[in-house]
Amino acid sequence: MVTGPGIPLLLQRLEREPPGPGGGLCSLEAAAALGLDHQTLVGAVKSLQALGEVIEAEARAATRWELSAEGAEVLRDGSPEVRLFRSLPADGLPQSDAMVSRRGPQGWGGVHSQGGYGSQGYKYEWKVEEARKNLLRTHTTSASARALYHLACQDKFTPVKYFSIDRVFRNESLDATHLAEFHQVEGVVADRGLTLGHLMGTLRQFFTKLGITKLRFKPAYNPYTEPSMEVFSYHEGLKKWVEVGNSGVFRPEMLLPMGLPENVSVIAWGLSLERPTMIKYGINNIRELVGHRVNLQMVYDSPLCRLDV
Amino acid sequence: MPTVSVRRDLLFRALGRSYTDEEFDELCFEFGLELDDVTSEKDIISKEKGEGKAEGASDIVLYKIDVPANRYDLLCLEGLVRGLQVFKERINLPRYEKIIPAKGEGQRLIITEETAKVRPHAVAAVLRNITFTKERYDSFIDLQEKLHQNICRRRALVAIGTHDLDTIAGPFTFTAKAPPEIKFKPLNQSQEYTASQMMDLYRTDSHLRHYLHLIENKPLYPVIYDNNGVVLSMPPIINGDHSKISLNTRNVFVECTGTDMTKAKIVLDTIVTMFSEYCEKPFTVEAVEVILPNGKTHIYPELAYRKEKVKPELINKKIGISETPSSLAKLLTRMCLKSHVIGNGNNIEIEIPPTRADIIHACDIVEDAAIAYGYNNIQMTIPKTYTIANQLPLNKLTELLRLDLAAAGFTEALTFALCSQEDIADKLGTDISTTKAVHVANPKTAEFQVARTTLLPGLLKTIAANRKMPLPLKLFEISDIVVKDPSKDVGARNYRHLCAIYYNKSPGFEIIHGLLDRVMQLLEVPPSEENGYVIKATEGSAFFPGRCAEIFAKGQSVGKLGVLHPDVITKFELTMPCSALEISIEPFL
Repeated sequence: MVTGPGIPLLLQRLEREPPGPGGGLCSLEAAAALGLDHQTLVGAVKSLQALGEVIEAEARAATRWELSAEGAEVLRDGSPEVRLFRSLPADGLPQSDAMVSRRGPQGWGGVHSQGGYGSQGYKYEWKVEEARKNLLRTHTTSASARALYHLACQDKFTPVKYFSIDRVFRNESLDATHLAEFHQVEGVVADRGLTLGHLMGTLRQFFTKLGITKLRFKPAYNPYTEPSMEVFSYHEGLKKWVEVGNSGVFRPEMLLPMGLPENVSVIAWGLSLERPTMIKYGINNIRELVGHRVNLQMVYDSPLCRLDV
Repeated sequence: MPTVSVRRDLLFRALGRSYTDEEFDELCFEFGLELDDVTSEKDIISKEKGEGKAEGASDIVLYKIDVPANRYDLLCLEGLVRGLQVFKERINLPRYEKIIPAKGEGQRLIITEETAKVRPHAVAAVLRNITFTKERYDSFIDLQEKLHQNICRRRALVAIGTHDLDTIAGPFTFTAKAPPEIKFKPLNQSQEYTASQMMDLYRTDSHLRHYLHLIENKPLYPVIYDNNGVVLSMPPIINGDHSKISLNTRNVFVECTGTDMTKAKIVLDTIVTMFSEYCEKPFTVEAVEVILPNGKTHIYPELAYRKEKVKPELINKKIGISETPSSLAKLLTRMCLKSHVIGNGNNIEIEIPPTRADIIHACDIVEDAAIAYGYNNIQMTIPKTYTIANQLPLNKLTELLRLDLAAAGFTEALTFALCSQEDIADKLGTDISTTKAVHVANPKTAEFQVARTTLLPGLLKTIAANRKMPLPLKLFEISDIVVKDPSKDVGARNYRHLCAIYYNKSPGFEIIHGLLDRVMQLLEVPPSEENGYVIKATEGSAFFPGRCAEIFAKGQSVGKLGVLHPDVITKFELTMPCSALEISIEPFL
């Protein structure tokens, strides 16, 4: 026996309507007419539906355009493109500079302002308040720098190989290939006597495991690595060289204030996770990969990811 | 990365030969540049405004070249050509010479103390007997714009003003005055304005309005006068029309003012080294005496040449090659770092020119040697580093749980860590102030106002975006949430949460409860209050009254499970009942 508020009222009202596809009630109108809350009426309909062949109900969609909170904001202050964005300087501010160290004769502040450890420095007024400001990290190098700092705090230096696959954030305009958050893969090797040749050799092995074999290296610039290299691979489908990663040898101004021994070099490389995935699977819109708009059917149907086949 | 747009035919003429696009691309790649695009003015207008508007626009081929952000000497055609020619050993790097005029004959720039609070630093130089053509003039203006956008940090740190020296008379005074007291005809205007009027005038100017804020609210605005009270410029906003440069200008007074002295010097050096090429005595720059408020004087431009000594073994070792010292010296010279072998052949002396302000450590020299050698000529080797590998325990546990949750029939989602305030508060029936959430100070959209304190909204939004999928929908995610934590140096901490939801015509509380039991079984946590886990009825604003329980394990509350409140369902634009489980997995490490 089905009971519930509104059910008798609804059944009475329905009886007065002609049967078949032409008749019937609109739930919104009926709720208003019967003095019922719309949700209550919907509840009544669903209870009756559960019984079986008593009533037929059809879900209808009605769209109404309404300014979202964001839309109201845009109306009031202008679109994000209009509102200026001033935060990171043009060539990037290394996240690792956000740490202040008591180790060593000079912290990072000294290195920036006056130089040190064989460097001229940038010769500007480094402010700890500025460096202490919290940011959502734009690359996982900030986490690698922390890990290296912990390594440097050890009594005795031991060589390490670290990796990280984690989320990063960029305050940029969003489009088909750019989101505010995505993932980076990062690798770091710290040892005595590492060379640029070692970095290239490591990269070749790393990318071979991803199924990428044709590589070329291009000189690049990162504030925290020197030498720096961009890694390019030949994409057979697009018939051109595309950038697949960035790499370099960390600068002494970054490592020495941490307290790492002078003959220790640190080679590192990084790439984004989404871009190679989109290239490999031919996906054009990054929202199909990350976020709540991902199509669950794609998740259900995806095959195994076999990179070495 | 800054992009420099150069006319292909001018570039090839200056380089002394033509290249195919592929050949030039290859040359750029070797040197560390990127040929980003081959286009023309017509193409650009076509893409931006449609083909109709492109009628009559220039067809001349433009190369858009990406330049590393620290190479101020490659930001114009002149610098690119010079760099590439030296790289290809077709020319030697020119020697830049500062000419100091006889006493009383040179130009002077006097800085008064009023500038201290608004824009304290200024440097200046003169380019004598220069010859401009249309192309050189355009390049001159473009370089200033590029420098403004990059090293000058959009004019905040340094602003450049270039003036026709024959229209003005030194000595020049750099001072600061109240806005109503500054009056002149700004560049390309037909009448005089006061500085206050100019602020209003340029508020709608698409280019200049971005710089107004740099001085607008200061009591005094910076201004440069000549000896007769003619205004040269009001940095960083606009130059005076009186001293503007034309194609016929023969003598240029260059001034750079700003808040960063080092960068002001680099900017001045860059402009004069690049364009002194067109002076009657090429690569010479006439010095200007700058007198500070305290009476001290300095001569600019600095045009400093610095010497560094680097051991050949260091360069070879860092790169992984074994070149002779003289070979290395030759490689460095090709990169505009004139070098020669000294001592017993066991040291290299390198001269760093004023155009290479980017060289601040020996590692910069090592990179240049590697570039000249050719990165792709270096032998690839594997480090002999022997290490034992380990996975981070938290991630290891996460990976194991993911597989078993999938085995239990739940599908994984990967949702955003940033969301709106409503997502974690209003829509879940609480107030944002109770959430201890980390807020983003400058979100680009309302979707990124806070870092999530719960995984639930992300999963509910995933269901809302996949409404047409067959029921039931069973989703999970094991990922980080963020809350404020004053005990951490960054003031916040991540927690690894596990969240699962069941969405169907009936709420399925027993299914979610079953999943919790399964997870505890996998974690070897027995269902007992003393040494395992137990659930206790509780209230939860996101949950249906009487259908919510708190989970206790390892001596603490680890999370909640229950049937979601219909208000929550509606607010996330869903229509069916839903039950949810969310726990922290960190106590189980």
